[in-house]
Amino acid sequence: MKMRTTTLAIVLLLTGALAASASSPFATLGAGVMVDPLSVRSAALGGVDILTADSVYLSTMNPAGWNSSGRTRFLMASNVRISSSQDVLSGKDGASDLQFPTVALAMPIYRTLGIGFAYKTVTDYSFLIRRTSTVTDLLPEDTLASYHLTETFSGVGGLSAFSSNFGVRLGNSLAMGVALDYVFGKLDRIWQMTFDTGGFTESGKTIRNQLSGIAVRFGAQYSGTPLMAAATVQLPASISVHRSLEIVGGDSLGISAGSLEMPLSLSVGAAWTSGRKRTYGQGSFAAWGSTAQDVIGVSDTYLNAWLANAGFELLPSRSPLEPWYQKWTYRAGGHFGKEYVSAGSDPVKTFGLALGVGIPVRTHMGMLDLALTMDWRGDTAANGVGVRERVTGIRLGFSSTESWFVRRGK
Amino acid sequence: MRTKGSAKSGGRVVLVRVSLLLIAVSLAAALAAGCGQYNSEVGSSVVGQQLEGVLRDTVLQIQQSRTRIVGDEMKSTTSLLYAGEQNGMQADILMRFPDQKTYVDSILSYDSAVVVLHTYGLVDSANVTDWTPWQANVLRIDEPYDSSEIDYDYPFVSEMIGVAGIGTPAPDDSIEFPIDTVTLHRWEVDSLRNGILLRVDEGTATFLKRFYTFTVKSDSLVPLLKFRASVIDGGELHPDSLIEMRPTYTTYLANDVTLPVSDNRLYLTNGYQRQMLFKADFSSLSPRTASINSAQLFLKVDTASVYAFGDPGLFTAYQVTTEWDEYPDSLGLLYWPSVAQVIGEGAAQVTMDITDLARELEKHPTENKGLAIRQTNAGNTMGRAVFYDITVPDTTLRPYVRVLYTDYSE
Repeated sequence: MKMRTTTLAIVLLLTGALAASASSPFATLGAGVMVDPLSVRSAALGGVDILTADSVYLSTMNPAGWNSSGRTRFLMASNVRISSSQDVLSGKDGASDLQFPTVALAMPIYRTLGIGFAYKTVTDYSFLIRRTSTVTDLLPEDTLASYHLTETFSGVGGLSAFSSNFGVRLGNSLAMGVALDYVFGKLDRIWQMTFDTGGFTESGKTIRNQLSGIAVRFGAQYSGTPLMAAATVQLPASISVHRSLEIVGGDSLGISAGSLEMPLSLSVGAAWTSGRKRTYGQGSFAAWGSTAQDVIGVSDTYLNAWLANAGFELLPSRSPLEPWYQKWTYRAGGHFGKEYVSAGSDPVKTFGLALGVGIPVRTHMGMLDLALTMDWRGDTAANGVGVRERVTGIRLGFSSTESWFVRRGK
Repeated sequence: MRTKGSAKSGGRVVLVRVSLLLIAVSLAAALAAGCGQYNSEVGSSVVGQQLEGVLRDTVLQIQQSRTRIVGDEMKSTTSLLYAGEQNGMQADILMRFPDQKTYVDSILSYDSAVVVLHTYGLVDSANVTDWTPWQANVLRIDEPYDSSEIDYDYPFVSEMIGVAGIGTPAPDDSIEFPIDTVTLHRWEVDSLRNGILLRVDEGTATFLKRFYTFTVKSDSLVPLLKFRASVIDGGELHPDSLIEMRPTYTTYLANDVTLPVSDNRLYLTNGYQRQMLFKADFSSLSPRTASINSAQLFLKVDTASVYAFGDPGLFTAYQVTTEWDEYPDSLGLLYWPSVAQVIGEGAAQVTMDITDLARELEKHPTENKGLAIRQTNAGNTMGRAVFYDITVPDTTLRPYVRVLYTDYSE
């Protein structure tokens, strides 16, 4: 049983590792597109996450849920993204890729104290914008000639975090936790200009940014009946940036410069259970301010970001006499909010809907989760951002409890 | 009735099959879309001007220039032999023959001997006005010398042994001249291994002839020493035998010192080598922002110059690595394989692509000691090309460097 779980985990890890980063025109802004490092259950609930930790599931946002549940909990999630974007200037384009946003492992340490580790994607920094044009009468002199050239602007990388979580349960319903996130990654911006006409050499510039730093989060979770509530606070953190510049045919300069100032972020949420029905609500706010930061070699305007999430869950019947479909969990949710960066002076708004199902896997005392998500970002209004992206996500996740590490003490 | 064990086993099978199916579907969806990145202009409305490097075009004036006289040098790979004098350029032919014992055991007596040369056209015949035949003195060289040190002015220890009427106006004839029996007897010691020199007295010839060299494979075209002799070979006497010997080495020696020192012109000559040195200031291009797409050296040819003649051949640009006046006889030159240019007869302008070299000079301005235009294969041709210098009053005739670059300054 353990071997099969491990094998499955390795297969998922490998498939995720082989996949390309998710491409988005909005990745050109700031440190990239924020990725929900969510369990598939949370994704199906419209992004509600800080309330979702229990004896099977883990919350990647709320460390309070990492308290001891008696057994080892294991979580992983994959996401096939199929995206298309409509640009008011240049038409449509599409891409698809496979993400592997998170894998997590939590284990009991002593009594109600639990510890766990997670690897999660924080931002995706992957984009490629290509433009072709024709220029006349450049070189050589006295010759009126046309030259076809292609400009590309691309980004490679993204931020990830290795998270150490500590949680403890105080009494039967209240849990507290703290998480240390080691945030790291690269954000490379690459410009290239190539000529289809002979006689010209490719030119280009690359700004390479290596980022690393520590962020701290606190969390609390109240798991009562019928009310559940949770809150998290992420303290401001400074992520250092080491930058280098390469000009094709020119200089290659190492520049130690700057930092990404992660802001104070708050999330609060509540859920109400009535019979087999549970309704969730969650709100988040990140105080980026309204300032321009030169984090990665260009100046971007960072804005206060907020996100509102709502979800609904039809819990499974506990009766052994019910048919199989009554033992599944059905979920739906949605979210809307505003991103942390702007396109020019225009804020980037986001909106999403989700559906999902949780299938019990009794052999692992776990759940196999599926979710279908639809997210929209930006707009094509004449006085707006100019680009609207739609992302369809087909998510597969697995949460299990294992006997690898079990609780000691009462 | 199913047992507990079979139920567990069935659950595992279902789990694994469902998981693998979902993974396969996910991968297929990702692969079917082809790629994980956009590949069009979509997103350009978000990034605005960030996408663009700006193409710029600038002219760099040549600050220093010079004709560098290298003079006559050993021509190890020349494909033709030259003899005569034309437009002030002189050429003599040197031929060496093998030891006679490489052909026969011993020679009892010589009857007669001739050297045969086969003509391969004339130099710049359209501009020759005086086709009076000329002769060359045949000098037997009596002392050894270092082949790498010989040039036109080398003080050979020699003795005149006759004259050779090789200066005929026919472009494709074969010419014989005799070798005296004293020289043939001296050959038993070493004299023909040192060679014979066909020297044309200054002012006696009015055109240059070309002959095939010893490297020609055809027996009907290669220079030969033919002699009749009674010989012993393989222990047998062979009276009145005709023996034909190929030279072991042929080359020509050139002289050309008649050009004006200062006439607002620069000279490229081959055979007797003259190179051109240029120095342009690349400091206006910042290696931190400018990525060079094209750098071309424009040279204006003085087609009306009385000193221009013949085929100057193939030239290339070298990076000068030492100060011009520090070691003028051993100027440091670094080869750049990307640059080569045929200086054709009658061309009004020569353009040399020096992009790679310009990038290097932009990147390392302190190493900018200029560039040299020199022969790719010294001695393969004889000719002169005359260019306008930076001192010529008409500024439109001066050499310059034109650079197209992408400006990535923000």
